[in-house]
Amino acid sequence: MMQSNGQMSRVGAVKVALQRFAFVVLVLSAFTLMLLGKADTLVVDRMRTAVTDAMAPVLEVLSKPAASVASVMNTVRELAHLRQENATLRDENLSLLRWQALARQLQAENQRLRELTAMVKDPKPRFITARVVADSGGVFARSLIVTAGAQHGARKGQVVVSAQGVVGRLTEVGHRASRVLLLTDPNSRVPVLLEESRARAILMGTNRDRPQLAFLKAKAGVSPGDRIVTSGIGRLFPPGLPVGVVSSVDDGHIWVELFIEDSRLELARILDYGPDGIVGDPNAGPVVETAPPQDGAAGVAPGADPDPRPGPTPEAGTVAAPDTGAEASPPVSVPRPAIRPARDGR
Amino acid sequence: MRPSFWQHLDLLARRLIPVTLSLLLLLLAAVPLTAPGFLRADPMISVLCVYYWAVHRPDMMGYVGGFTLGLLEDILMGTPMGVSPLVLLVVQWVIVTQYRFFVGKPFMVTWWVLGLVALVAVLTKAMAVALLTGHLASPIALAASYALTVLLYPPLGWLFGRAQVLLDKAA
Repeated sequence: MMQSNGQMSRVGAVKVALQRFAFVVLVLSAFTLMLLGKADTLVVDRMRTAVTDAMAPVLEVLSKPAASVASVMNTVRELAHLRQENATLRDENLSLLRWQALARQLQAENQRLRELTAMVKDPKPRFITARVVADSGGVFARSLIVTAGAQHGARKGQVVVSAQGVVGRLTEVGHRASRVLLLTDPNSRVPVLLEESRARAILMGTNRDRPQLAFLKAKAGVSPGDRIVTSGIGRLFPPGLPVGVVSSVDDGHIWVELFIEDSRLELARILDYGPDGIVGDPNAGPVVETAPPQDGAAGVAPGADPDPRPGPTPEAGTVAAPDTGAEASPPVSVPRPAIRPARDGR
Repeated sequence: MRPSFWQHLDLLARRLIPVTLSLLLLLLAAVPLTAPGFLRADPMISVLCVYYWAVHRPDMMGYVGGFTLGLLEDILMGTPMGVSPLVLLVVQWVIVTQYRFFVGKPFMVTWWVLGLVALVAVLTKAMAVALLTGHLASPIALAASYALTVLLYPPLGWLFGRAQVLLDKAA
């Protein structure tokens, strides 16, 4: 009996020693990982991508019930506000029809001017639409995981947009899933400009819902409501993509309210400019299209093909990015707060 | 009598329940809730899991389990690798070394201690992330995360309690 007790206590002591050893080894491993990650080594990146890739199918399965619940709740909410929303949509439709007429007129004028100046055509993107299956929450980082990877044509650095505007860009691309760094992440830096004054700035993520404008020379001219679009500087983002509006200016800080609501995103579109990227083919010739688009072609675009051909009728509320002049800009819906015909005096 | 192969397999499956359940909860927490009216908040699910098992059955989730959970959390959430494993290991170590304190204590006491542990965990994590990235997390987001973590303990504790009953039956 005494011998058995002694044996058990020896086993217990060995177990405790092993646990302590495991604890020390694992703490050291955690520190090593932190240092490796800080050094930005390929090993950590690959590990992250491989695990995300492996987890993507599980996340996709888990996200489906959540999406169904959200869909039911949205339907209930819409039913409750049906009458009010109908009236709003009627007003908005009238306003948009006026904008459509103006847009067509300007598009035809732009086309003629481009022909006259033999302007080089911007590259047109292909779209990869992916489902959002994970959301990083937002306390320490802001990113999404989408179900499009290298096998679907996704590449690191590609721009991600939604129907409202820019979402972010791909920072990790696995075989079947990718990570999107959101504009609100503290590591995000996007060259932008104020649409009216054309003043350039950098949009910096702050880990809050509203990013900040930095490196803006003429801060005095900025006021709440000013639209922000990508500037295309640095060739990371194509020019003219809608980003947001200035929400407040205080103590030299300019805060931006984004058009997208990243916590409500279900689908995201990855812009694929092909192997040449946003810079495009240097041998591309001048604009050759001559006819203005047919009725309803203004919003053709999700999945717009470089070949000019009659496109499908656009979805309600989708039009080409306004006033950017860039044919390469993806058609995105004009966010409601941004439609201010009165301000433009048109 | 030596247990058969199937008994071994059954025992192994039951022993994996805590880690598997925790991993599943972590994945569920990452799923985006796009329904209207939901707040964007990020509870520390991994801290809750590690805390519960360290208090009630420390043999069921060892340091390796906590480390794995932390690593998966960092990968899913996009936080610097190694931060969550370190926080979880510290939580586990503190609770395991104070195991005797929790024996026979009512739920309210363990909940109150969780409040302290979660506070230390969220602050440690915020400091580690700030040191590694140079960006401070928003105090409001940290407070929301902490509050949600504490509020989620009773329902998650109930769920883990059910799992523990299964484990105890098997023992």
